[in-house]
Amino acid sequence: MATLREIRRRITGVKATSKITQAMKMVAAAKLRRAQDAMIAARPYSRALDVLLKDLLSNAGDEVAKSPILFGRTIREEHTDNVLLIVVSSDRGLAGAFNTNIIRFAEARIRETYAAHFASGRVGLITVGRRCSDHFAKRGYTIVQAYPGIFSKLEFQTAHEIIEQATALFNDAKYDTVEVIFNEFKSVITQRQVAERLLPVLDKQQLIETQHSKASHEYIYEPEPSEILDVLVPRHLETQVWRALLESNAAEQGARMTAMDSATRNAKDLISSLQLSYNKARQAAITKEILEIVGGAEALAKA
Amino acid sequence: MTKSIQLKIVTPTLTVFEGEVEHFSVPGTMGPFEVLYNHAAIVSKLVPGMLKFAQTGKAEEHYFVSGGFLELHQNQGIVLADGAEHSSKINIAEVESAMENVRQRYSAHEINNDQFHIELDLLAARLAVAKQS
Repeated sequence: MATLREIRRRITGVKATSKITQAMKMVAAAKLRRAQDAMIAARPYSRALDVLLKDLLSNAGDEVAKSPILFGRTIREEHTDNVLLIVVSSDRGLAGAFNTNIIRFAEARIRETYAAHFASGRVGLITVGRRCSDHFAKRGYTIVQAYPGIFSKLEFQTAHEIIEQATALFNDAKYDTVEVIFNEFKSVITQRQVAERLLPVLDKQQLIETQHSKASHEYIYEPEPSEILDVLVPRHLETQVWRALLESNAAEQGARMTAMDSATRNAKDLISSLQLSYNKARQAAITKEILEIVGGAEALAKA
Repeated sequence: MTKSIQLKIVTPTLTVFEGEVEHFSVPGTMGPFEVLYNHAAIVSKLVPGMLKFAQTGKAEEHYFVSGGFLELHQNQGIVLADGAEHSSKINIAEVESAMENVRQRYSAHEINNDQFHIELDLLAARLAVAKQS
């Protein structure tokens, strides 16, 4: 049985830990708020851009089908195309299963959806956040570029750099599909792992749809729709990456807050059970002492 | 008076302005143009320059936009700016020293002619807006 001093030491230790987890929870809560605000602030732009893009595509007509960025290249043979995945994790741990989930999801995507590509070395990765950068670097994946440590000061410029590089690789025909994989913020306690295609912008189905849809208004275009598209499409892609970064950031803070909350609660449970055994041990010691005294007194009385 | 236009200025990171204006003007690719009530539906690319608007009974407001788009239909306008800042927020001295920096880098052959003009024009447009207020 543990001695009184051992139990007391453990209680002090667990209390200290619970103070840390409690503080981390508060910090995560404050960061979560800011992350959610940033997410909401980015919405009007991306919504307006989406509407504009749809209108332009339905007006651009046949030119759409010719643009590789929008519709993709004609692939010569099945699975001879190259896939670039942008995986977004966090920089720091202690966020529950946040990073494990996204890494597992990304690996499943590589080994299942792109199994044939992976087997022939046609999958490249751009890793965002220190966690997945470290993970994939250690396991011999092809890493085109790593962006560790971007979440301490999240800026739109980062989204711009990531997609600029991906677009350049796409345009050089080094990669034919670009996807972004990230934790989507569903609520404070739930994250959903998603893969979204960035390039080409449209798949076959969507191309047909845009060609048959009508613009919502008879716009005057200045300059020509195709010229506006040249500038608008990069903006659209940037916004999509930016959204992924913001969502992942908010999801991370939510996950950390939940994880730290349950850690604090576990610590409290542990403290109360330790306190109980401490009391029991103390009581046992007292009883033992009394018995000794009584036994000693009786022995003396007999003598 | 209901002859006002709903104007919204948004950037990728935030909504800069939202409200009713009497008229506004934007720096289009073919030069700046004025939008009045009942303007035809238009989508225009914007170049770096000045965005002005006037609200009823208020002084004209000036913003610098670094490029983007205008989408307008039925008196509802959205400016999708790459970046936007109010004229009063621009630090003139800072812009002037940045211009000096660009000139130096050009004379030291660190940047080519095209890049020099792009950067200088952008700063000059910003300076012009700052001096408006």
